[in-house]
Amino acid sequence: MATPPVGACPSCGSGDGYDQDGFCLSCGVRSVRPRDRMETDLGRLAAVSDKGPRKVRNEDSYGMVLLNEGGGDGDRPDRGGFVVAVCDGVSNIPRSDEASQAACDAAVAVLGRPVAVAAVEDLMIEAAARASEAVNRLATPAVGPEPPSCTYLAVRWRPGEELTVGWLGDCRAYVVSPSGVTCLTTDHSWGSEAVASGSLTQAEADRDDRSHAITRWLGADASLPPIPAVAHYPVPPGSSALLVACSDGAWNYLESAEQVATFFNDGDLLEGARRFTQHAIDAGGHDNITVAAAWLQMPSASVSLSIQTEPV
Amino acid sequence: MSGFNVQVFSNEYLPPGGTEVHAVVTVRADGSAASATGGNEAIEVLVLDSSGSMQTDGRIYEARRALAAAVSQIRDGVWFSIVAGTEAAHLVYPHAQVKGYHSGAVRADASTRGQALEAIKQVRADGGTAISTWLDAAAGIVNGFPGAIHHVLLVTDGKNESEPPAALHAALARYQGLYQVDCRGVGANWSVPELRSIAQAFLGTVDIIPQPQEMAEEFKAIMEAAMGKAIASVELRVWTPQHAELIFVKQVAPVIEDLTARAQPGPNPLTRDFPTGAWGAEERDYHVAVRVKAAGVGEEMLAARISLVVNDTPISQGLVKAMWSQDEQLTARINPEVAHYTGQQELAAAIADGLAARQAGNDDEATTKLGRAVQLAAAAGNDATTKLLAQVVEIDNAESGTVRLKRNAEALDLMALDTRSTKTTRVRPAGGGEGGA
Repeated sequence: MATPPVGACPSCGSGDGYDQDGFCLSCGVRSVRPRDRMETDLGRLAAVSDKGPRKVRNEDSYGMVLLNEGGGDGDRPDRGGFVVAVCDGVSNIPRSDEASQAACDAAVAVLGRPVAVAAVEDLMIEAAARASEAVNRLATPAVGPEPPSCTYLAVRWRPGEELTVGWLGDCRAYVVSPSGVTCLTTDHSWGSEAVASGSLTQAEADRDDRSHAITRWLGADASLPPIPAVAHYPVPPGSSALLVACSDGAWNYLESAEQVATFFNDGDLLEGARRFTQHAIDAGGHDNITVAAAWLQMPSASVSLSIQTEPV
Repeated sequence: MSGFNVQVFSNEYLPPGGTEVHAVVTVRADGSAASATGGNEAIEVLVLDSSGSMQTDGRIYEARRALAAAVSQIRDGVWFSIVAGTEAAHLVYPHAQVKGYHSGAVRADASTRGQALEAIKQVRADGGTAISTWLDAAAGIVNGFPGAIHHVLLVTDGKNESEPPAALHAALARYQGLYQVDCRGVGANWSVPELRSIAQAFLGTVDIIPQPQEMAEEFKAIMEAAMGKAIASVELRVWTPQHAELIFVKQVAPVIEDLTARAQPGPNPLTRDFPTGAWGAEERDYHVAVRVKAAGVGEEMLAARISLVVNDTPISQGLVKAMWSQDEQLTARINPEVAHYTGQQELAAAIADGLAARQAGNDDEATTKLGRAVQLAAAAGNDATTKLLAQVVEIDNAESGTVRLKRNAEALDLMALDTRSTKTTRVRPAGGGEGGA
C-alpha cells in the first residue's frame, strides 16, 4: 500500500533510506507514516483519512473501487457503480490499524463481484464474513490478550440496484440529495441502543459517558457472529445524489446531519472530504477521521447539487 | 513457507523519555525448514571418557551399553565416529581400513553400525583425563566435513586433571562454534563449571547422569534430538538503530543461555549475528533488550529487527517497535512473555547465587537466595525446579520462600540443581505459537 518515502530522514538527517514500513534504516524512527494522511480521488469517488492531531496513529482505513464492468452505461466514468468501505480500528489495541485495513480490503474484494440484484444482500453478508476472517487472522498470540478489532461499514451500488449498506459498529453512511440528508445507518453503540429501547432519551444518552461504547465490531473477541446490519436506499432516478460514509471521528463534530451537505456544496468530492475532515480536526480532532464520498447520480455540468441548507 | 516462524512479544509503548525496550522473540522451525533450506549432511562424534575412574561402579560396562544404544540411533547415511578419551584421544571406530573411511568417520549403515558395536566391546578404562586432546580429535574429524551438521556427545565422569586448565581454555578458544557439544557428567566427581564452559563454547547442553545405569537412556535421547537436526547453521541477526545499545541477547527457552558475548559482526555496522547452532523441528525463545535514544511522544521507532539467517540467507524476521505515549495505561503494561522470562532468569540467578553462597559457607545468603528461588519456581509453576530445590533445602513455605538449608544434601542433588537451574518453562505449551481465534 505504502510507497517508502525518499530523501534524507527528517529525524536524523541520514540518507540511508527507509524500510518498507517507513522506518529509517539508520535511526529507526518512523518519520513518515503513510497511513497518517491518505487521500484518494477517483473522480466520482473520493476519500480522505487523517490520523487527527490527538492520536498516535491512524487506525481508520478505507477502501474503494469503481464498478464500470458490464457494458452499457457502466462504461461511462460518470455512470458506473462503486464499492466503498470505511473501518475504524478499536483504539489502543495492538494492530487495530492493520485490522481496519484488512477489513476494508476484504470487503472491497467481495463486493466488487458482479452478481444479480437479488444476490446483493447475500454478498453483503459474505463481505462482512470475509472481513471478519481477515481481522481474526491478525489475532496471533504475539499480539497479546486483546485481539485486533475494528468497526465495519461497506456500501455497494450499481445502476439498477438499490444502494446497499452493511455495517457493524458506529461508522455511518449518509445520502445527500436535493431533498436533504438522510443517515442510512443506526450506530451499534450503547447510547444508540439505549435510546432505541426507550430506556434513555437522546439527551440523556448524549450526556452519558458510556454512550459511545460500541456494541458490535469485527474481531476475535466479538460476542456475536459477524452478520452486519443491512440497509437499502432506492436511488431516485434523474436527481443528483451523493453518498458520504465516515468514521465517528468525523461525524462526532457534526452539529446536524444536514451539515454534511455543506462540505460538498461545490460538487468536488475530494475537496468536500477534505473540508469535512478539516472541520473535525478544527473542532477538536480527538479521534482518527475518515470521510469517503461517491456520486450516485452525478449532477450535470450546468446544474449544481443545489441542496437547501443553511450555511454553517 | 520458509519453515521458520518468528514472533515478537513486547509492550511497544514507552513512557515519555523511556529508553529500554524488552522483547521476547519466539522462533519456531517446522519440518519443512530442512527441505526449504536444502538440508545438510551430518557428522556425529561420540567421545567417551575411558580414564581409569570409569572402572568404578561398573561405569565402563554401562558406558559400552550406552554407546551401543547411541550407535543404534544413528540414521543411515550420517557420518559417525567413536573416540575414547584419556590423557590422549583414541579412535575406537572406524579404523582407516574400513570401507568408506573418511577423516576418521564412516557413513552409518547396517554393516558399519554392526562393526562399531563390536569395536565398542573392546573399550577399556585406563589412564587420565585431558579433555583438550579429545576436542582436538573431534575437530580433526569434523574438519573433514565442511558444511555438515557437526555434533559431538562428550561424556566424562571426572575432572580435567591430566593437563593444566589453560590447555582446555585454549582448545575452547580454538574450536569455539566449530561443532556443537552436548556434555554429560556421570556420577558426582566431575566439575559442573568445567563441562558448562565446554557446552557454552560449543552451543550445547550440560547435564548430570547421576547413575551409570541411566547412561543408555540418556544417550538414546541425545541421539534422537541430534538426528532431528536438519539445518547446520542458523544465526539470529539483530539490527538496532544508530546510537542504540544492545543490552543483551539471551536464549530463554528451552534453556537460559546468554548469547550477548557471542556477537559476530553482521553485514553492516548496525547488525550483529548470534550463532545458534543446528536446528531441527523445534521452538526456541530469545529475550532481547535494547537501549534506544528516546524519541518524542507520538513518535514510533524500530528498536530492533530480528532476522533468522540460514546458510547466510535471511529468511524470516520480526520487528521490535517502540512508541512513546503519555497514556500510562499503555506504558505501564508489562508484556506477559517478557515478565515470565524475566522471572525465569531471576530464578536461575537465585539458584546459582544460592549454591555459590552455600559452597562458600555463607549460610544466611544461601538461605535467602534459595528461598527466593523456591518462591519464584512455585509462582511460575516450575515443578521440576521445585523438586530439585527440595533436595537441597527444607521448604517450610514455598509462597513466602521460607526454607532451611539441608546440611547433608547429596552432592548429586546439588549438581543436578546446578546443571538444571537454567531449564525454563514456557509461558504456554510449545507449539502453541500461531493460530487465529
